[in-house]
Amino acid sequence: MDKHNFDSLKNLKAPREWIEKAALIPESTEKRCAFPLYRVTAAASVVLVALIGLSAFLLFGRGQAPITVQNATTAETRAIGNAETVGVTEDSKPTDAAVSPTRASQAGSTEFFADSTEAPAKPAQHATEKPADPTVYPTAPSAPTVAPTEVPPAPTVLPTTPPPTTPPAAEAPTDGMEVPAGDGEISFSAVFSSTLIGEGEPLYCTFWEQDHYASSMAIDDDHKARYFILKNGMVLAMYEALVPASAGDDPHEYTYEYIFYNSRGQVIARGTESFII
Amino acid sequence: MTDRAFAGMSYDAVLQKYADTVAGVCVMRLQNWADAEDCFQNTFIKLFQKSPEFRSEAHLKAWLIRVAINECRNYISKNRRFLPLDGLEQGAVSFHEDERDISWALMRLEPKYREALYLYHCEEYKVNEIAQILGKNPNTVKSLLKRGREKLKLIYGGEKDG
Repeated sequence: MDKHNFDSLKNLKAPREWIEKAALIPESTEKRCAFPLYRVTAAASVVLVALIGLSAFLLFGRGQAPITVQNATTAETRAIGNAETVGVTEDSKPTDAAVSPTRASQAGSTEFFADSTEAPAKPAQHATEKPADPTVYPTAPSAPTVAPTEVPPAPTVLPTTPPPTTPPAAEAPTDGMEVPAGDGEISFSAVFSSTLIGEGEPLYCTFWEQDHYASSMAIDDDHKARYFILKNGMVLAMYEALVPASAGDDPHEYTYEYIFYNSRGQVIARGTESFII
Repeated sequence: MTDRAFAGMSYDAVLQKYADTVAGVCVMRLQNWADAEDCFQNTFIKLFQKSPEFRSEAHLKAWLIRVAINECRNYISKNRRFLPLDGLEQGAVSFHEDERDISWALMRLEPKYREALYLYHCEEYKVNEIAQILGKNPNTVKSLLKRGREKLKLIYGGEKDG
C-alpha cells in the first residue's frame, strides 16, 4: 500500500464549531453540578416524610395511649394469695360510667396508681390512712376517676385490724358478695384490636387449669368480661374470678388457660397465666 | 474546575491537541457529520466528568480513541439506523475517489476492518496497541488487518502492493 494513502481521512480536521462547543463543556458541567437543587430537595423531602411519620407514630401509636398496660399478662394479673394489685395508669380516664373498680383492697379502697413501680408503696399508704375502720368501703371521692357502681354494705366477716406493714389483701369486686374464706382471686386480661368486637357487644371469658379439661364457652353473666376501648384502637379486656385456694398454709402455683370470646362463640384472645394461690 | 489536568495538560490543551484525532475516529466510524459531532462532544464530556488518571499523553490519546469508538458503537446501537455507504444521506461524509487517496474505499469496509486499518495507517498504532484500544487479541487484530487489506484492494481495485 506504499503508493496509496488515507490522507483525506488522516488529515481530517475537527470543525471549529465542535471545538468551541467542547470548550464550553467545563462551564456547563460546573453549572449543572454546582448546586443540584433537585437532589437537595429530594433529600429534604425524604427526611421530612420520615419525621412526620415518626411523629405520627409516637403521637398516635404509642405515646398517647390512655391506658398503658404494664405487662398485661403478668404484672397486671399477678396474684399472691388473696392479695392482688392492679396497675392502671394515672392518666387513664375511662369514659364508660359503668366501669367499676377492678379490685378493692382489704382496707376497702380502690387502688389506682400511675405506674406499676408505685404498686408496693400505695397499699401501705392506704393502710395507714385508713386504719381505723377497714370495714368501711370508700365512697366516690376516694376514687374520683373511676367510681364503683355499687357500694355494698360493709362485710362483717372482714378482719377488723388492718395489717400495718404488709400490703392489704385484695378483695373480690364487690357485687355484694362476700369473699369466702380460703378462696383465691384470679384475673385475666388481654389486649386486642377493637375491630374484633362490635361496639357494646358483650365479651365473655372462661378459664381452666392447664392440663385439665377445658371449660365450655358459656354465655352468661358469670362469664361476662369487662373491657375498655383504648385511644389507640386497642381493647383491654379483663375478667376476674374466684377459685379455691390451696389447702394448708403454703400457697401453691396454679397455671390457667383462658379465652375471651364473643356472644357468637368466636375466640378473640387466649392466653396462659400463673397464680400463686 | 477547569484547572484540572489530564496527563499534565489542561482541558483546553487536550481539546486543541486531540480534537482532530477524536473527530477523525467519529467520522470514520459513523460517516455522518451530525452523528459524529454528538459522539465527539460526548467523548470530551466523559473526559471532563470522569477525569481519569493518565500515565502519559499516549495513554490519554488511546483513552480518547477508545472512548470515541465506544461512543460511536453505543450511538449506533441506540439509534438503530442504517448508516449509508454511498453518501446519499444529508450530512454524510464522502471522500472523492482517488487513485492514491483511498479513504473513500476504507469507508466502504465493514466497521471492524475499518477500525483496525484506520488505527494502523492513520493513527500509526502498532498491533499490540490496537489490540489494547479495541479490546481484542493481537492475533485477532493481525487477522483483521490482513483481511481488511484484501477487502480494501477489492474495493479500490488495487494491485498486490500491500
